[in-house]
Amino acid sequence: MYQYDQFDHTLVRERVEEYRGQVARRIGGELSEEDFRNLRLRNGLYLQLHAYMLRIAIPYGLMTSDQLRKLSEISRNYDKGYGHFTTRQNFQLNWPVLEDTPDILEDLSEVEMSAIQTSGNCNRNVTSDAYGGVARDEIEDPRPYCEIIRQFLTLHPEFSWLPRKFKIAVSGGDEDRAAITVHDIGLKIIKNDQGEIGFRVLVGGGLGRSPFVGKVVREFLPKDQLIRYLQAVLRVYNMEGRRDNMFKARIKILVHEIGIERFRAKVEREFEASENDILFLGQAEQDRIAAFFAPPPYADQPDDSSSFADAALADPAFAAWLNTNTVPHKVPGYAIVNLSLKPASDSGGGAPGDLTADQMDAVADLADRYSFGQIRSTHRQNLVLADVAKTDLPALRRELQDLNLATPNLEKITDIICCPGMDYCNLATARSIPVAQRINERFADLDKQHDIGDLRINISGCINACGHHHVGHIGILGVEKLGEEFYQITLGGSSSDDADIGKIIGPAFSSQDVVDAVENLVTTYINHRGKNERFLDTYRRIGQTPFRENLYASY
Amino acid sequence: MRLQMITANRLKDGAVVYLDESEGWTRNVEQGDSVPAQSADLRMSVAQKSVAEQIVVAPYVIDVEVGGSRVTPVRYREQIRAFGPTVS
Repeated sequence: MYQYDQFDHTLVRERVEEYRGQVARRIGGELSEEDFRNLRLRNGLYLQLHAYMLRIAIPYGLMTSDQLRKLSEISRNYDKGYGHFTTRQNFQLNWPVLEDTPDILEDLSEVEMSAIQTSGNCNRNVTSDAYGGVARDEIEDPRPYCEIIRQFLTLHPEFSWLPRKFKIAVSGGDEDRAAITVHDIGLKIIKNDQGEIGFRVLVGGGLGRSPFVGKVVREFLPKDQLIRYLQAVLRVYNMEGRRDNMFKARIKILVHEIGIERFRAKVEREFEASENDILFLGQAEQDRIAAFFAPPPYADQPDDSSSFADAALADPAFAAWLNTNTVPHKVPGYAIVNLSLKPASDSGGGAPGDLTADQMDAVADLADRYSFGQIRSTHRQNLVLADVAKTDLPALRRELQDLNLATPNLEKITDIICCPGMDYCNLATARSIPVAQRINERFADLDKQHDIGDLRINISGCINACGHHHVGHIGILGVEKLGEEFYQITLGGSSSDDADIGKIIGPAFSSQDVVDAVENLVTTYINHRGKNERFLDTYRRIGQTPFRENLYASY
Repeated sequence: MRLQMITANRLKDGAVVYLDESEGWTRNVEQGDSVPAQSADLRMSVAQKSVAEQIVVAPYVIDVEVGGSRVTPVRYREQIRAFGPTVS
């Protein structure tokens, strides 16, 4: 885990005091809302439908138990006792009071957290594979590179006022678990034919009103050139990205309009021009940062523990959780454990990604006892305890059950990505959380969920696509039609290695009908699926027609 | 007759508020001042004064329906703003 040095501490504390002065001047009338807006956004503060919303950065989704306890304390002291984990691994408070926000940021600084660059037209939180450092398919841990990028782009004077917001994701395994294809820059750690490790660089991915899958701009980038190359991409974007139309200002539009070949040529020219730059990322600096992410002191453990194997045999529910919510760890005798923030409807349901302050405290305690005091947030809005001894799994699962965090639904139909929608968001055109909750209720039967298998539903409450609907196997987009909520369905999206943008299946459905429509799609899948075929596989094999014909036959 | 009301967010906490008859701001839409559409511009000038006094931000006009003693915003977005999130 990276630990702030004196420079980081000073920077964050000075930033808090600067912001405290800005808030005081706003309340005192020295700053207009127009002037203040850009300043508060730079510190993660939005004005939403009912209240302010503060977005707190969780760099690459990694936090200590003390940091999670601080989020709990802040949620309790300054908000309504809960918070929300986002698709970019951040944390949001829905009800902070403006006057309190400087104190919140000061409290955060005590545990080396901030809200810097969680909004505004700058580089946002660098996101990562939530299994970084522990995945069996990993070529190299992506987190040190996320941290290096974070340091490079925090308050970078040249890149603080980009044409539009900018999002970078880094993945280190064979499987893309960080949705790098739908980021402004996606970095995939790879090994080339010579056995050297570097990055495949994708650029121009993104969702929103113009969704694109990122294109490869550099097939192999040596690690020591990472910062210099990122600088080149950002310089081209900063100079040539559109500033006249915010809907065409993202780098994806620039790449799309001039084409990847021309864009690549511009980047390479800029890259060459900075050949003698100071941005060479030497091995010593790579090693210095990587040392912060050294493996914890694992104990020698049997990979096949009789205690949890016996528990699995004796308890089918435990076996289901084990098969669904845990993932093989690179160290024998350990497991990666996913905590579902999409609880079963019969145990209260809730908004996807939400966690109460009491749950946060309890998860922090579990992390201390079972996972070396660290927690990760995922882009699918769940949490991970990444280093759990297999012998501890039965006990951990029992405690997670008590917290309502053990629903065995990871990557199943109720593991829904969902934005806050119109229940909270100022931009939304329809609600999204109630739709997720109704789908959760409809498919509450866990046996049915497991029979359906891997099926990702993503829901957005507007075209800005914070719920990643374009890349859901089933995507649901809330729209307003004639003063009512309607939901447009897309099929075939994915944000993984088989990334694709979903295709609209037909006319939108009313709020009343949308869950029936989802069930209809699932039924078509079940009727057509081949052996071991996921929903996405069947859809890609048979195409949209059978789904569409069945779906609209009853409407 | 088309009725309208002025709404805004309170500066200090972002809470949804409505301009009332006494040119103050209320959290309760039922206590907001429903005026004929042709009078809304005049009420906006009052709201802008509150903006200048750092009381509210981003005021705008909404359509409302009055049935008996009940006042309800017309658009569902405004209903959610008035009555809070529909989920717990």
